[in-house]
Amino acid sequence: MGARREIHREVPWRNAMRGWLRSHAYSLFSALGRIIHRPLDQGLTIAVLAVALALPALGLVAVQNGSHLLAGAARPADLLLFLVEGASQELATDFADRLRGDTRVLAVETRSPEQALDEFRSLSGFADALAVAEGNPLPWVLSLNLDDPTLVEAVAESLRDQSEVDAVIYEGAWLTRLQGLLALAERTLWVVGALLAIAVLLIVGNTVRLEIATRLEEIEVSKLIGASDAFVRRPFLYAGLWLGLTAGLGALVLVELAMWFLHSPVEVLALSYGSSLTLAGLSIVDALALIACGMLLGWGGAWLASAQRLRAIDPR
Amino acid sequence: MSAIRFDTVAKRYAGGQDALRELSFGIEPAEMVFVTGHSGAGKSSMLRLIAAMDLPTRGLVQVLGENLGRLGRRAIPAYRRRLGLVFQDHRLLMERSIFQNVALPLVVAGVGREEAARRVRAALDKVGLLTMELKLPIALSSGERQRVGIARAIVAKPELILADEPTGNLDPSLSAEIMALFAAFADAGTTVVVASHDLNLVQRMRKRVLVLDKGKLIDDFRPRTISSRKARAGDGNVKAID
Ligand SMILES: Nc1ncnc2c1ncn2[C@@H]1O[C@H](COP(=O)(O)OP(=O)(O)OP(=O)(O)O)[C@@H](O)[C@H]1O
Ligand SMILES: [Mg+2]
Repeated sequence: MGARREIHREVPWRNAMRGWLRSHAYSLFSALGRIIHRPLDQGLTIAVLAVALALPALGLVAVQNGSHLLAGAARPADLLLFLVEGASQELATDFADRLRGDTRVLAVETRSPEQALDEFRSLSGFADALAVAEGNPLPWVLSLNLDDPTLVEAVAESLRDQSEVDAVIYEGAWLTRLQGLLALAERTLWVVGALLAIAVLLIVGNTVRLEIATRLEEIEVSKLIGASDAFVRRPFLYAGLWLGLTAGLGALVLVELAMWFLHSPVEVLALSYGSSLTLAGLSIVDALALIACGMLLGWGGAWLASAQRLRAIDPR
Repeated sequence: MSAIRFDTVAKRYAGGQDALRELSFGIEPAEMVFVTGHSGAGKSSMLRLIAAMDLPTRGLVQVLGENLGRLGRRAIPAYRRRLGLVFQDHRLLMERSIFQNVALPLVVAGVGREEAARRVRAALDKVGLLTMELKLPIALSSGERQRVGIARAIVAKPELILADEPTGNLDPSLSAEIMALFAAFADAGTTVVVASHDLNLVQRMRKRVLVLDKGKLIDDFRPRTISSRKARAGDGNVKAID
């Protein structure tokens, strides 16, 4: 009976601590060794995992840049009202004041035909056309910003019949729609992200399950020799961790490649929306979060697989 | 206290087969005991109960002060580290060196590297394989592999050695050698239980023998005490038993 106790007495806590660290370090690096020794198998698995992690990360980049773009875009008027031809300044300002009294209207800006003409002239290409025209063909224009941009159609409808109004044009609708789309994209991203996280969990779980199957004898012998479940499980958990880490790094590389591929067309597009935007990649925090996600999912997948297999092979 | 105590133990497998019935006996510390009987008599079943690999269906199995029927899952590893298991097919890890195989119980127990190396060499020395430590099991004869298995079983200084048909694959002279090794451990204070159906070998060892038949204990031969053996030296009658 004494033999076992004696071992413990010989090993003070410092040595025990060192032993614990040593066995963890051993598991950590032998798990890495196993990955490196099967570069093809494991490389393919890691590539699949990296793609699965890169997709939601790219989605995140897209949504972040999208909302940045929209925030930076000058908010155009929601509605443009072209007043009837020949309307006087007095009529225009009266009408503008009346509209300001409408609770649905946030702001009204009036533009005289002269101002509009100057603006048009400043745009190259129109100058010649206007020179040909006799007098000023442009009407008074009121641009409206609404309190709730989603009401744009209802407001437009109610203004169309006014005697002062010649035509109503929705201007800012695209922005509102785009914002709506962006919100939808963000939601979708969460769903897709969750699904891909499950995929990563399952892929790692399956990889680890196969790894366990090839090492059943070792596991059984270890358990008969007195290894705890934690001890037996450790190398597989570390294997999952390495898979997750390398996949996370791979995903970062994929995201960076995608950014490099996309940045110039995106900048052109942004300019066309009146926003100067340089495509922003993942921030440091996001990048670390991506890697952490990979590691967490790798660990989790390995844990699930090993829990299931350990119970199945447990002699008891 | 007995090292091992069975009290009206029964084991019935899921298939409905009664492997052990009404089994009661005790084994003292530092005793060496053989368990023998025909194939299917229940020898392995008995050792599996002692190693906490199975639970008894009925009765009490008490080993090294632990009631194994009550031993929780989490307590099993610590309990197993007090045992040394030897298997008929040695169960060495074929892609690990002899040294690594023997060191496994120490790795599991978290023993430091230098201390482990020292003990592994001591264990290999005991089984006469000190020069083989860097080889792989594949490069060894079956007798040598079994001795590596024994080195692995003793390296962590177990209180109890359990061996199920440890000489099943070996020729008679090798078998005798291995049994002598076990006897030496018993002399040094370790309880040893060996299951074997090799009656010749068992008789030659002159140790206590439990005989099982269809799961029942049908005989319990005890060796003569040293004093009676000494007395017997001058007594022609008793010698005939050999
Ligand atoms: N896992 C099991 N499931 C069902 N029945 C089993 C199981 N293990 C053993 N048995 C049955 O229990 C009985 C005793 O088997 P056991 O292996 O203990 O015998 P043994 O004495 O070790 O035989 P051998 O000398 O052939 O190794 C046998 O009838 C066997 O078929
Ligand atoms: Mg058997």
